[in-house]
Amino acid sequence: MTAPHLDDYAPIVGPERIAILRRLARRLEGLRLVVVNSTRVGGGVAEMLARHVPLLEELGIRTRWEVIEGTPAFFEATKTIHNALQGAPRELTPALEAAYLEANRTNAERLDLDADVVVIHDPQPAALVDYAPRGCPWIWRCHIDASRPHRSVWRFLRRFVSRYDASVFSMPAFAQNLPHPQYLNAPSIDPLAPKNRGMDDDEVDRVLARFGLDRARPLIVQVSRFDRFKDPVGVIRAFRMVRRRDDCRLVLAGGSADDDPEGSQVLREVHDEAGGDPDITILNLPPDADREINALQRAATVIVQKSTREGFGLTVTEGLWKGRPVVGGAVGGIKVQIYDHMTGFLVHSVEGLAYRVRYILNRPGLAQEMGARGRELVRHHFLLTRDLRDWLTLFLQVTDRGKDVATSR
Amino acid sequence: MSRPPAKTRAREPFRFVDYEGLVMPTGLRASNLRELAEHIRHVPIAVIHHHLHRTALSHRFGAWDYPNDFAQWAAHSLEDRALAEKLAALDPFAATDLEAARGAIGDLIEEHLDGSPSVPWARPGFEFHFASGHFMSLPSEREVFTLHELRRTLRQVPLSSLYYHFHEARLRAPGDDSDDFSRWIQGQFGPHPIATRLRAIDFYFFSLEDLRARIVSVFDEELGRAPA
Repeated sequence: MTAPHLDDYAPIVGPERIAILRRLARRLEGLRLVVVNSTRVGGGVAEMLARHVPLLEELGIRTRWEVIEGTPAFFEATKTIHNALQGAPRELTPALEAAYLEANRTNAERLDLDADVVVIHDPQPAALVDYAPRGCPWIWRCHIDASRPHRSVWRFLRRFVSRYDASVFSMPAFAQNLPHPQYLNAPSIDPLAPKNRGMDDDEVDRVLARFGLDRARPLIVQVSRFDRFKDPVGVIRAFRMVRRRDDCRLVLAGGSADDDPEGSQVLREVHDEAGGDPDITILNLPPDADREINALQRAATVIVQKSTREGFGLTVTEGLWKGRPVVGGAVGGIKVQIYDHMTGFLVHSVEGLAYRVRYILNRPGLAQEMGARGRELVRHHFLLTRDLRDWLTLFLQVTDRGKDVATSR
Repeated sequence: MSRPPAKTRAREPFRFVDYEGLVMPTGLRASNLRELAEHIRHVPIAVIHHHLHRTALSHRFGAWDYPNDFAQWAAHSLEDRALAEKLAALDPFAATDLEAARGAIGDLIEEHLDGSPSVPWARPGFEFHFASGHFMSLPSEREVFTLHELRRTLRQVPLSSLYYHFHEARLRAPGDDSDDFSRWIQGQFGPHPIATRLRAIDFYFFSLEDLRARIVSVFDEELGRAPA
């Protein structure tokens, strides 16, 4: 499949949204942009960048995507930082701090960061700002739920983040006390990506059959990395409560990103909890299993995302886009996607998850209405065309390309 | 009132503006109503502007229940429906300027607190997060010269543009309770029933989709009756 072009999105979002992108981009023609993150595959950020980069190029923004490299100690440090930002009481040992700084120093020498705007994603490459020459605005994009960070680790990271010219968060609650302007940018999904494109029933059934699944009974599906903050064990417990009353199956589909050393341990815990139950299917999928995830989400009767911490929750967005009701933990960006009784339900416990799944399973008409509303919500707010518009707007604001434009705060 | 033909050409075109921007969180939050009132008194006026007016730019599921962020929060996070009703009924365009609106909201909340046996708290995770915005008004390429063209283009423009020409228009010219469309129509064609009817729309209670439908229906009704 060839990569989609901007005009391919017009039938989905309307030609006017595409025209606006072109009008904004005209002012940025030739801008040199560098984006940096920690992995090219696996995880929501890499997925998003893979779609953004070619479209920014098409809009005339000369975009380079650089990936930071590191030792296992570096990735252990960044996992600690990630968990601590999400509130876990983790500490960085001096050895981990040193590994983090050393990796950032060597990457600053290795990477070509010469540009008109530099965008650094998440904490892994955040310290590049200390080691690289600064000739343009640097923006830090934080995708993590940093609403209640573990303070000592945040203080360590803040030393670097405060040197940026602006930072961008997914939710207002994640904003921090920082000496520069902070912006909101909700993440997005690509409706034409293999994970989200339309798929007919036959194709869905073929994918299900490969996993020994069918749609004879309702399917409850959680698609998520095997990560404790996604509470896959809690999902299994809720499923067992549901099944006492309603015959159904559970699918937990996930994988682990390159930068997530805890994944395999969590996967073992999930298998232990499932205990070989034939109605529970656990799929450890490779990062490129987009078609499989698309089919599983479309086959779901109810999609669940029982996170206890969440940056944004793009799997919720994907589920809503497929017209499915979603029951999710009342945390992070899930709260701006799920509206009780409208697009699904927000829950606060294993019991709550079980109750709301049963509630939806027994009301197929409601499930359909919720799904339709969810799809419209995503169309308005969480597709990549809106995300691109936000980035173009931000580039206009942090460079002098928008200086002739009337602004209001 | 004169009724120029719908295809009569104006001397000066109506130029649509794109209104694009980003929300800027301040990091300030309120967990209870007392904190909300205190912050409202002291935040930069741009924050009041944002929460009082730009609520219209966020998505609604058809029904438009509470027209500003303060009322929404009172209803959904504090679950204080009486306060939500009072905040929703407040007319920010009746205030002479945003500072007057700030004062009115602060007074309203404090009076409500005086009559409450306890301070209402938001459930955890649903605090009020103060934000402002950085919005740009960019000239679009759309220019229209006739009422027919204006009607056709109104059906197509992004909702944020409609917001700019209807809501923000009033904030740009305090005291002139009028939108950009009716100003242009009156300026180009003299007094016209479309201008009169557009000004009379009680728009603060509409979602932008509803507002667009209402505006277009005014044009349909008036142009349908005008000589071709």
